[in-house]
Amino acid sequence: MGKEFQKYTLEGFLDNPDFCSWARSERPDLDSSYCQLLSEYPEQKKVFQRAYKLVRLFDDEKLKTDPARKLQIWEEITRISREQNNPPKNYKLLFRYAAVVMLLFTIASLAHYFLSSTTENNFITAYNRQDFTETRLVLDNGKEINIQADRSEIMYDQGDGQIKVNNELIQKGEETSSPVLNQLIVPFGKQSKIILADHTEVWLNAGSRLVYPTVFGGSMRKVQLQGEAFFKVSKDKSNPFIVETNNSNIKVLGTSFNVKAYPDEKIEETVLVEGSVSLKQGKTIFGKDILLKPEQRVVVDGTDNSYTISNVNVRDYTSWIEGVFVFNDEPLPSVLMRISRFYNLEIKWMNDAETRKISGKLDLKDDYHRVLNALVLISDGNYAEKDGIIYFRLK
Amino acid sequence: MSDNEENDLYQNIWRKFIEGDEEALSSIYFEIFDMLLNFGMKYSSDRFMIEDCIQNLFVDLLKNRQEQRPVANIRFYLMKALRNQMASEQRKKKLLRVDESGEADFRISYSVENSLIASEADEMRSRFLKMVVESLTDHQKEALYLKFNCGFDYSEISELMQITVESARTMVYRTLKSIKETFGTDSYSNLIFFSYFRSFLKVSTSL
Repeated sequence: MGKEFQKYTLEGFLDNPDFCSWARSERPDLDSSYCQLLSEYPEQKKVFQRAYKLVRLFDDEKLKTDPARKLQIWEEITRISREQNNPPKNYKLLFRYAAVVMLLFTIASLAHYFLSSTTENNFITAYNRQDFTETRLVLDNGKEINIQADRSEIMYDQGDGQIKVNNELIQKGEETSSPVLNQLIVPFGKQSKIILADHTEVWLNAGSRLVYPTVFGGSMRKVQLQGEAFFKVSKDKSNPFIVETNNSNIKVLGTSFNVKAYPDEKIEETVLVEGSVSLKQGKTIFGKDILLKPEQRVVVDGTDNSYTISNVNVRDYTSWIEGVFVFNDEPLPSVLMRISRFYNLEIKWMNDAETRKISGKLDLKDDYHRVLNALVLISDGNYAEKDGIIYFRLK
Repeated sequence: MSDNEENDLYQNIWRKFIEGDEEALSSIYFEIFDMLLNFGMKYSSDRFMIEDCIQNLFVDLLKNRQEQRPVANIRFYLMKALRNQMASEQRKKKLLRVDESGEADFRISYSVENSLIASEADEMRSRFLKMVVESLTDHQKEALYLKFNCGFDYSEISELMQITVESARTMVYRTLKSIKETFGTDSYSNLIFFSYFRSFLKVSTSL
C-alpha cells in the first residue's frame, strides 16, 4: 500500500482486496506492515480502525469441521461419482497407449542421462562455501561475536538474560521484557550447541544458521533453521515450539528430533526420536499436517512438496552430535555432502556416485584424509586432490 | 496469503483436475470445505443440509469433469455453485425461508473477538458497532459480506445476488455512506476505536 496509505478513505480501505484479506485473516496481528504504516501516518488511525473493525464484524465465529467428517463426506463423494460414472470403454485402451508413450519417453531420457554423464567435466559440487570460518553469534544490537572453538556451547539464561559462551560470560543481563531476535551461524567445519531461554537444547551441525528470540514471548516459541540441527525441546504444553525451514513448519510440544534442511539440497528431512511432532509441509494453504511417530523419518521434496514417511534407526540421523557419522544404505553423494560440510572441503563427484550405497561408521575426530580413505575402501572408489578440490570417483 | 495467491494455487489444481487428475480435486475440497460451510451458513442454519449440498456439488464436479472449463475465480465459482445447490435443495424441500418481500433470508451472526476485546467496556463499544450494522437490511449486509469477507468484485456480487453490477456498486456505496454518517453523529465512537486499537497494538507487540 505504501505512500497511498495516507490518502485512503474508509471506502478506499474497504475497496482494497489486500486490506480486506489481511483484516479477515486469522491472525492479522502477525503481519506488522500496517502497524508500521500507521505509525508513519497516525492521522489515518481512525479511518483505518473503522475499516478493520467493519471487516472483522462481518466474519462470524467460523465453524470448523472435524477432519474425519470431511474425509467421510469425501469418501461418499467418490463412491457416488464412481457408481454414476462408468468409464467409457476405450478408456483402458487410452491408458495402454499412454503407458507405451511414457515408457519410450523414459527410455529415451534415461539413455540421454547416462550417455551424457560419462564425460570428465561432469563433476557435481557439494555446495557454495561460506566466506567465513568462525562460528558467529549475532546479537540484536548488531554486535557480532566470533567463536574460534570447533565445538562451542552457548547458553541463554531466562532468569536474568545473560549470555554465556563456553562458560564465559559475554553479556550481562539487560531488560528482557521485549523479545529480540539473535542468530547463530555455524560455518562448515564447525559445530555448536545452544541452550535457549526456555532451556531447549539445540545442536547445530556444520553450515547451519539458527534465528531465535532471546526470550520467548507470546503463545508460540518459534525459531528459524537453515541447515541441520538436533532439538531437545523443553516441555511446555501451552506454548508449542515451532521450527520454520525453507519448506515446512515443524510443530512440537516437548520432544527431541533432528531436522536437516540445507538450502542447497532439494529435500528436507525430519527424524523424530521421541515424543510427537506435526509438520506442515509447504507453507501454502495446501500444506498438509504430517504427524510423525518416534523412529519415523519424513522427507519433504521442496520441488513439488511431496513427502514420504519411513521407519528408520534414529541413531543413523543423530549420531553426528556425538562426533560420529553412521550411514545405512545412504547414497554416496549424500555421504560426500556430509563430509564436505563437516570438514569444510570442496568435493566433486560424478553422476554414477548416485548408484553406490554406503553403510558404516565414520569417526569425525579423524582428519579428513583418514575419513576419505575409509570411504574409498567401503565404496570401491578413489579420490584425487587438486587445487584444494577433492575429486571422488568410482573405479 | 492474498486472495490472488490463493486463486493461483486453486487454478493449478483446477487445471490438473480438468486434465483428468481426479485426486487433484480432493485438495481443493479439503481446503475449501470450511469456507463453503461458513458461506452456506449465511443462508441457512441447517448445517447438515449444507454438508449435503457440498457433497452434491463435488459429486457433480466429478461427474461432469469433461465439461469443466477453466474459470477465473475458483472460490467464487464453487460458492456460486453451492448457492445454486442450496436454492434447489430448499425448493425441493419447500423449506425455503421466505421473508415478506419474497427474498431468501441472509443471516449474520457476529464474532466476539475474545482475544482482542477483554474488558466489559470494550464489549459495550463493540455492541455499538453491531447496532450500526444491525440497522442495515439483509441485502445490504449480504453485499458488504460478499465484498469484504469473500473478496468478490461487483460483477461477482451482482451474479450472486442477481442484481445488476450497477446496483451492486450503488448498494455497497450507499451502505458505507450510511455507516459513515452513523459514525459521524456519535462522538462516542472515537473512543471505541481508540480503545480497541490499543488492545490490537498490545497484542501485536507482545509477539
